[in-house]
Amino acid sequence: MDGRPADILIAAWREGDLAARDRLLERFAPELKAIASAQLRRERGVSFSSGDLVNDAILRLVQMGRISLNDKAHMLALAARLMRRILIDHARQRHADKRDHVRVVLNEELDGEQGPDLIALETALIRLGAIDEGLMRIVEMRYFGGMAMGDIAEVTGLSEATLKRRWRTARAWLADALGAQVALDRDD
Amino acid sequence: MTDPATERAALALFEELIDIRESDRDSWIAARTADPAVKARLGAMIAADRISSLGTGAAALAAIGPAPDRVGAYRIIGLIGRGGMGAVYRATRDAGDFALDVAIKIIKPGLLSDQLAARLAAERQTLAAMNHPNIARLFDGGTLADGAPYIIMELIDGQNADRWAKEKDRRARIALLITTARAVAHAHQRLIVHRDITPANVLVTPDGTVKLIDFGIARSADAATTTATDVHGLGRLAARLLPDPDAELAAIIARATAEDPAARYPTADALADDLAAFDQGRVVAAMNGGRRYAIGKFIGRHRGEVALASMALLLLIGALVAVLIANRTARLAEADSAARFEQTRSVAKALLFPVYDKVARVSGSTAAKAELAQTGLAYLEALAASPDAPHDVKVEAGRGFVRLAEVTGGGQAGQLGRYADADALLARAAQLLEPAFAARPDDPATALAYAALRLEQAGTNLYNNNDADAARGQAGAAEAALRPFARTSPDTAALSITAMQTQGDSFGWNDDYAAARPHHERAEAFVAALPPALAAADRVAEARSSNLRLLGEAAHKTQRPAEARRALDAAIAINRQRLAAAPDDPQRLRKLTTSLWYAGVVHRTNERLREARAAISEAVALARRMVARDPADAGGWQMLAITGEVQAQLLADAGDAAGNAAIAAEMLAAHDRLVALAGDAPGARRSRTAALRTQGTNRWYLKDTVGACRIWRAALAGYDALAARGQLSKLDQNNSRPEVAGLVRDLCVGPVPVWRKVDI
Repeated sequence: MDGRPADILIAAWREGDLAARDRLLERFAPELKAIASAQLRRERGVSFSSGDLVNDAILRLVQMGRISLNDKAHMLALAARLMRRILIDHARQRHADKRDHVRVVLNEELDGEQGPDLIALETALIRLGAIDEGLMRIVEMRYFGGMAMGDIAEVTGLSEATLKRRWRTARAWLADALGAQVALDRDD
Repeated sequence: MTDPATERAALALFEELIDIRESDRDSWIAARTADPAVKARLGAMIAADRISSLGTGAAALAAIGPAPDRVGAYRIIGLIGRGGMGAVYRATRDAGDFALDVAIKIIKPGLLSDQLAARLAAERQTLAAMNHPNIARLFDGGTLADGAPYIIMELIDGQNADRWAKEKDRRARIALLITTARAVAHAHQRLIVHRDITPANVLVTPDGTVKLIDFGIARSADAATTTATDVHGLGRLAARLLPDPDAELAAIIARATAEDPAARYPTADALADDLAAFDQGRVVAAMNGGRRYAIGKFIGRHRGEVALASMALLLLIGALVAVLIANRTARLAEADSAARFEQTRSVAKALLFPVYDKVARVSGSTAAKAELAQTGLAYLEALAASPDAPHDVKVEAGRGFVRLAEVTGGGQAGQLGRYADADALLARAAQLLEPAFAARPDDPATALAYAALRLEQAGTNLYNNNDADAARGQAGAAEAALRPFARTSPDTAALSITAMQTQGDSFGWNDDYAAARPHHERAEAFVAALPPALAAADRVAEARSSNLRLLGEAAHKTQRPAEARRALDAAIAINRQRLAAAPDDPQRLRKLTTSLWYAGVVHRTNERLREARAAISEAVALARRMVARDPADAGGWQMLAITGEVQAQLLADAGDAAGNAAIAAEMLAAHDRLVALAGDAPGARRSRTAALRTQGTNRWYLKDTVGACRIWRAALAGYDALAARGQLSKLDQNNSRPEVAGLVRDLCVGPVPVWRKVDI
């Protein structure tokens, strides 16, 4: 286990050190998971916004003195990734247990009433990642992290104009893919 | 599924295509690729982009289509109105179960494609749960087949407030405003913000019932929207309905619509209260208030200091972001109102207790503390305003107000010196904690909060307002409240010690050290009888060191030098130990400085000059450190003033006129700063005057007769100014003023007074 303090790891990650990012993921996964499960338990049966979960989780870490908010955008991106993993795990578990899909209002862009099945979304995202990892990350940050365009721009280093175009592209691709995926699901 | 290369090509083209006009797209695509697979993928993505309700492009501009025949179980029977967002229809229930006419608002498809759709969906649930006679009910909502979101609301047949008001007198208009503000407050307690309070959204039915419509739905999402936005909206509504306000109403409107949100009424209820007060001829808070405005202004002036790079700042940002996000989360979450209430409560708690405590331990954090506290105020008001708030919530809110009093200028801790604000905040805390303690005196948490309030009040009365009798009574009440729990925890033990100490100091402050000493001895005896683990607790050690210092003072003044020295040495030892454990803790720094200062005073009086110089030099250096670290903290200036005063005496004793003048100038500048920070409060002015008196005597001993007389005359003027306001303490009235008056009369005659040896 990498014993470096969180702020040093974040700085290294900002410099491009992916190993540092993975250390951060390892370190914060248990705490974020605990926070997310607590939320999921409390709000069971009610859809909720994953962006709120992410923000809440980061805040709690700050309140616990585990991290500073100096690197807010990066921490949000990290949390978005973790939240995706946590929500998918959760959805898979429920899927296996109850043959029942978790409905999650993904932040901001997808219609709350007809939010996509999480597992279908995850399948599509994995495909998108294989084609263009950058697009997948943007979706991750926007959908799962509820991140503002400005924060995503900071993490990706893209201009906001470029980012908006990339975002709309990813969204169109995903909307198309999810349409196909729903049909696929029915055949299962 | 197509291969990744085709997908990549299609994605790249789509990204560029976004900026191409729709009519040019076919030719543009034809020019860019001939690959039918890429074209097919591109076509699919364009279609998905267009039909997807996610789209933010052309769909948003689409005109409203023809009205649907029905929505859910309702049949559309007419159009009520149309606007930029969509249209509102009248509809009737057509399911054969019961009769109900409703209003259905259908929002243009695509318009809400961004945050709004999510917010609409999220808020619908909370709004539906909101049941208030003056808020139009929301029954249901959803999305039509074409993607248009809709909401089904209570149908209100009424006039809008503007039209209704035309035939009404001022009294009726004020009543409407009060009712509206109370309804808004009800929503705020459930963390729902209306966002657009206008005459058109306040309807009055034929039977006179006020109904607030269009609550918080489908308006531009603005992160800055808070309850203060609605207070502003209510203020504008008042201005519209009351076109010719007299002075008091104008003050109410001005306060509600103040540009700075912090200067507005903290809650919609507070605005309603003030309107009701005006209506009933009672005192209107907006007229004599302005305290919150003053705090806001103060923070505004010190924003630069908040930017000091420090742990405090990080924590502060964390806390403020916590509030913003909690606010946003609260608005979006579909949790029920109880869960929202819980969330607000935990934010207020996190903000005011753990985060505040962490910030308080860092030097240079005064402005940060104030801002933190100020942010918490809004939450506390929200908590306290809830009429059915549980007992422990009221106690928590009360504790929060006591904390705010501490940070905005309490008698004890790091302070900004705004005494008047502390009084107001303590009064608010008392409103909550007095009934809470009366109801549950047997609950330790309640007793602790109540005792903390009484002690803070006592400190403020004694050290800031010169009211020793009131202070003694409050400290006694604190001790009595704690008695059943005094030995159960470090907190109760420490507070008990402070309660006894404060009773002692209420005598010592007015020169009655013989009466003071038994209280300080009582506190020492209490510590001696504590279980060792409790006695060793840091909070207990801290309280004990303060008491030891005052015990030393009382012993010294009652001619018991050995007892005095023992107590003072013990206090210094405790404080050195505590500071060594946390060298950056400003509170510990202050404690050590205080105990060194007082030991120096006692050494000097007992003519142990070497010991006196050593202790005072160390104390002055520590005080300068405190001031340098946080110039906004009155505590540091206070220490510089009192240690500088003794240093000036010691240098005068040694015949060092230049050294005395230098430290005296530094000391008097510190007093000026304190008077300014305290907003001219009597305690600060009294201290400054006492310092002048002493320095005049120093100059006389240095044979600077002109300087001495000038300074004494200034001191005399200071006492007379205090006396004119009825703020001269007994000590000054009986001793200090007559003494200085006598000196001026006897020694300062003629243009150049002649020096002679006198026993001053």
